[in-house]
Order: sequence, then C-alpha cells, then structure tokens
Amino acid sequence: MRAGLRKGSTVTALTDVASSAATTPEPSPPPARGARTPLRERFPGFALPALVWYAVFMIGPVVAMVVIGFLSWPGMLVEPGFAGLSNFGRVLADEKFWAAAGNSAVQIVVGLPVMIVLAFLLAFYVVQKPRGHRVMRYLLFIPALISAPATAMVFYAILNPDGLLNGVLRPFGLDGTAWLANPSTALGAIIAVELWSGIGYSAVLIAARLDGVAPEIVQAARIDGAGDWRIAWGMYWPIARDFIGVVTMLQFLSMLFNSAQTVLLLTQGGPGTSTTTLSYLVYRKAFVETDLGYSQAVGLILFVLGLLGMGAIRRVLRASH
Amino acid sequence: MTHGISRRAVLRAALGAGIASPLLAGCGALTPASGKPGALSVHTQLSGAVAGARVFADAVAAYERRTSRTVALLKNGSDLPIVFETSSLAGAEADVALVNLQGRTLSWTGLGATIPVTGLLDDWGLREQIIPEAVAEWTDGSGNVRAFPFTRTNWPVSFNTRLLEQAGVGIPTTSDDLIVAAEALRAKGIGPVTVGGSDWSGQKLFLQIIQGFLTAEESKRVFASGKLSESAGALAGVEHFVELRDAGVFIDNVQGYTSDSELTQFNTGKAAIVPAMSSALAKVPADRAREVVVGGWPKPSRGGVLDHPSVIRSYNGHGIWISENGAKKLDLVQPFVQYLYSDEVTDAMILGSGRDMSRVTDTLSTDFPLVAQASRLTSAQVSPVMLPDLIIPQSAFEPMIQATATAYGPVSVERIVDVFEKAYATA
Repeated sequence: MRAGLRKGSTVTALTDVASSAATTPEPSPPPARGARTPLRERFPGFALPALVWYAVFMIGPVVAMVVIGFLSWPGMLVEPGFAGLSNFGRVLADEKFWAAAGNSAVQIVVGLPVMIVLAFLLAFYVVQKPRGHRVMRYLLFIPALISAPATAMVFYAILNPDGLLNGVLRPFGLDGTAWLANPSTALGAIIAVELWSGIGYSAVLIAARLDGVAPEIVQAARIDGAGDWRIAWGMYWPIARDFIGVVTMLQFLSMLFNSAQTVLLLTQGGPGTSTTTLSYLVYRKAFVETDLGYSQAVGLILFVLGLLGMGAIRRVLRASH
Repeated sequence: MTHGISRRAVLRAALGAGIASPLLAGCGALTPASGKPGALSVHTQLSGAVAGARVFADAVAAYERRTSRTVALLKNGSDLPIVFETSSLAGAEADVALVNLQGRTLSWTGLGATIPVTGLLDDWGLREQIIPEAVAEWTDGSGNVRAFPFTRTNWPVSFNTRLLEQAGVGIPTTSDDLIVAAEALRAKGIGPVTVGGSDWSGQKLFLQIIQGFLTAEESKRVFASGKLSESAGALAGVEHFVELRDAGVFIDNVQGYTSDSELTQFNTGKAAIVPAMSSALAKVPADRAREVVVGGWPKPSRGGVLDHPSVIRSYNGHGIWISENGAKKLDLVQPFVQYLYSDEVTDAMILGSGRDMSRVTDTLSTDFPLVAQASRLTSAQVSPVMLPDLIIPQSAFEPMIQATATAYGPVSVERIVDVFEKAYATA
C-alpha cells in the first residue's frame, strides 16, 4: 500500500514537472482601453474568403434548418407553409423518435467509451515503439481511408446469414444468426462497424499526442517501478486528457450525426426501428418520407443534443494537471 | 494576425473566380451528353441489375445510331424520385423520366413537375397501342393521364416444388395447407416463405394478405383512409396475418430481410416460397426455374372473400413521364416515345428481359418460363387483388412500409393496427 502510494506520488510529481516544463509564452498585454488599431489591421484580409464561405455554407444551413423546422413542407415540390411548433409536437409524440433517441443513446453510451478506451490503449502500445510500430500506424489508419459504402459492403459480407462470421461460428454450432436482420443483434452490429471505423483513426490521433510525452519522464517512472498499466492510466492519460477530450468530441459528433450512412447502407433503420438512429431519422423523414419540417425539427433537437454532449465531454475530459 | 488586401491578392481572387466559373457552369447539365444541342435526357429506373435494364439501354443505343440523335441516360434506382425532384427545383431535370407511379410521383403532374400526356396519347397515335386498363390506371382524379404506361407487373407466388416434395407436401392453396407446409419445411431445415419484411416487398404481401378479407371497394376505402380499425374485414385480415406469422409461415428474422435478400434466399434454395413480381421472376436462374411452379397466395381457409389463391395484378410498372424541360422539346420527345412503343422495342423487352409490357401485343416470353407461367394464370386458378400504391396517400406511403415492417415482428394485432393508422397521421 505504502509502495503504491509512493509510486503514485512520484508519478504525480513527474507529471507536474512535465506540465511545468511545457512552458507557454507570456500573453501579449491587451491594447490600452480606447486605443484603436488601424482599419487595415482589423480587416480580415486573406481570411475573408474563408469567412464568407463559412457564413454561406456553414451558418446558412443552420439558419435554414431552424427555419424549416418551423415549416409544414410535405415535399420539395410543394409550397411550404408556417407550422409554428407543431412539428416539434409531432416529433415528441412520435414513438419512432423516441425509439431513435434510445438507439442513439445506446450507440453513444456503449460505443463511445469502448472506442476511446481501446483507441487510447492502442495508441499507448504504438508509442512504446514495438517492432513494426511505423507499419502499425499505417494499418490503424486504413479504416479511415475506406469509404462508407465499401465498409458497408465488407461488413455485409461478414454479417449476412451466409457470411464470414457465421462461417467461422459454424464449426462450433453457433451459426444461424442473421446479425443485421435480428432485432436483438442489429444495433450491436451497427455499433461494431462504427468501432471498426473509428478505433484505429482515433488511436493514430491520440498516439500523435502521446508521442509528445518526454521519454525521460516515462523512464523515470519505470525506474520507480511503475508498470505499463500504471504508466498508461497514471501518466499518459492525465497528460493527454484534454486532447483525448477533443478526439472523443469528434467521435461523439461522428456517431451522433454520421451514423445515418452506416444504417442506410446496412439495415435501413430496421428491423422495425431497431437501428433507426436520430441522424437516420432526419435522413428518412427528409428524403424518403418527404416530411421536411419534421425532419429538420429532429435536426434541431439533434443539434442541441450535439452541443450538450460536447459540453459534457469537455467537462469530463478537461485538462487535470 | 491579419493582413490588408494587396493588389496582387485582388488579382489572384479574380483569376480564381475566372477559372472556377466555367468549372461550376459545367455542372449545370445533368450529364455531359445531355448538354449537347438536340440531345434528349432520359432519367430511368431501368438500370443496374433491374430486369430489362440492358435491353432498354441497347434499344436506346439503337435509336441513337438510327437517328444520329443523342439520348443521355441518367440512371437511378428507387432514389430516382428524389433526384428528379431536386433537379426539378433547379430547373435542370431530365426531359423524360421512366419511373413507377407510387408515393411521391403521384403528385408530380398535379404540382406541374411533369405534364399530363392525355392529349399526346392521341396526337402521337399511342392510345390504341396501350392496353386501355393501363391508361385508366395511370389517369388521375382530374382525368389527366399522368404518363405513358410502359411496363406492368404480375405479382404471383413462386413455389419450389423440389423443396416441397422433400418436405412431403404439395403446393398450398389454403392457409391451413400453408401452415402444414411451413411446419414440414421447417422440420427439414428449409425456410418456408421468404419476403423482404423490412421493405416494400413485405408491405405488398401484408396488403395482399389483408385483401383476402376485403372486397375491391372496401380495399380502396381502407387503403385510402388507413382506418383498419373501422373495417371488420381489414381487422380479420390483420388477425389472419398474425395467425400465419405466429404459425412460423415466414422464415426466421423475416423482419430484417429485404427484397434482394428474399430472392437470394429463394434462388439459393434456402426458402421454398417467395411472392415476387414478374420482373423478379425473370431473374430466377434457369436451373432453379425448372423446379418452380407459379401460383397465388393461399386463400384463407375460413372466412375471406376470395375464391382462389390471390395474385396482385397491376399496370403500375414504369411510366414514361415528360418533365417541364421535356415539354419544351416535344419534337425530340415524340419520336423517342413512339420508338419505345414500336414492335421492335416491345418484343425486345418481353423476349430479352421477361418484362410484362403495357403495350397491346401477342408476344409471350419464351426464355423466362416463370414470367410466361405468371401471365398464363387464369381467373379459374387465381383471384386478382389490387396493388394499392395508387390509393395510398403520398405522405403515408413510406411510413406505412415501416409500419408493415413492424407487423413482421412479434407484435399484437392491436399494435399493428395502431402503427398502421399512425402512418396515415400526416396524410
């Protein structure tokens, strides 16, 4: 126990040293009150095209989403009319929405922690520079280079009733499950596809941050008797915590907003509503059922959930040293 | 840190805009070929692995060679309506579209996205060439013919007799026979009825089974309003569906299968029975087709309104729609449409792809025996029921598919009725 405490305090001390060693430049003093910089310096200059682009193609769609969420618009060729809050009323009274919200919640609560923990452990392994670690970094990145339809094709071949997975399970008498067609396994299959796509990519990003940890600190911890597990979670995790928070946010947003493509390609939201996620519901209502007002009302709710989720992740994974 | 705008930056911006403009302008045409003067653009669902896609493409190529005119084909599957609508909003839709009449396309003529072809049928001499019932089915409530009916469909049920014999049963013609056959097939490790429970193919079978307890008039009323709970026949139909489902008539996990997977199951001999439309029958491999007999969906053993097993028959296949853009170049559209109704193209579609056509013809499919079998089914063998696609309101069409997908899962009659009626909520 005492030894454990001693090791723990050593590691904490070392991380403190590490953080203090990473000195930041002194911020420049703010301009004196009332002093005005010349217009030429305040004008965005070369940033202007990017700002215009951002305003038109980023802020514009958000505004459009808000507006459409309040319209009755049953089809793109139909003249829309003002609907007030009725779209939101319909959304909140619709059991399909609640089923989708539940599926998205499972996807995030189960999928995201698994993805980030596995990605961190993979990244930690890679930064120990085992034999072939450079090749491994490329291999980890491969899922990010495969398009969603190609990924879906691969997983369809694996998960269909006559697919690879059942082929592997057949000798053990465990085959026969239609992974994508069975309501009890379909959502799990979708989460598995997203884990496959996201773990390697996240691991490469996190490894880039872990590479920045000074090897002397790790060496000192090892001399003090810290094992891999303790170094990973007691040193690397706190040091990289804020960066892992950023990666978590990116994967959270990807899961929340981009799952529609995986769902569309593999299950179309079924069986029943077993794999209908909120982002797929937005797609389905807009492009299949042509209920644009409902779709964007869900889009707005999703937007707010995205903001809340990002805030929560930021709070949980903010820098702690 | 920011910078002011230098003269060089302005010059670069102008140069960039100069290069980008023609590139963006090039995106205006639907396809590169459709931008040529005198070209006709045709947006077709007859594409990919769909029966008739290759024959149709060959026919269009022959037309191009013969007339030295360009016909640019833009191909989509079930997503064609949305692609057409978005391009229509930009005023860049194809001149002609070949697409089914269901869901969102039901409103196209009324909204002015396509023109009625009522007058053109006579002006172009096509009225006598098209089966009158087909024209009637493509006519809306205002008397406008929405598009030229091109293909039609039979929707029989295919039975693999080898697998049924293996299970020691014959072709079921009543629901009791079907339940017995399903038990026997399962005992032999063979799937009974396969259907795409998650998509339109499952929806069609669900509606077909309900029609076992509905007269034609009652069917129209029920499918127009969605009020299953107000029709004793419809409720009996749903109860009958649940009875069949719970008796294990459908393959396991049917709720998650699609129209593609149902055919795969049938064509690979994993399931013995499939309800499939004639264009799908054309894709059954020859060795499998030899084992198959085409018939109808077994009629209810008790109650019901049918004399024989049921078959969906409809003239609602692909239609030839003329868009607003097409209306501006009817001189180019007319010869092309007339060519599509020529003996040459009709025979090629029937003989080369097994398609059922809405054109009056004596030609019968020879290389697609199941399609021929389906078209030879008489009223002494099967009772035709309707394809309700034209009656279901546009806004209820897709939600209903999700509702019927729910019905294939372990849910009660009350729950099925509830989700079905909710699908009509915005209608």
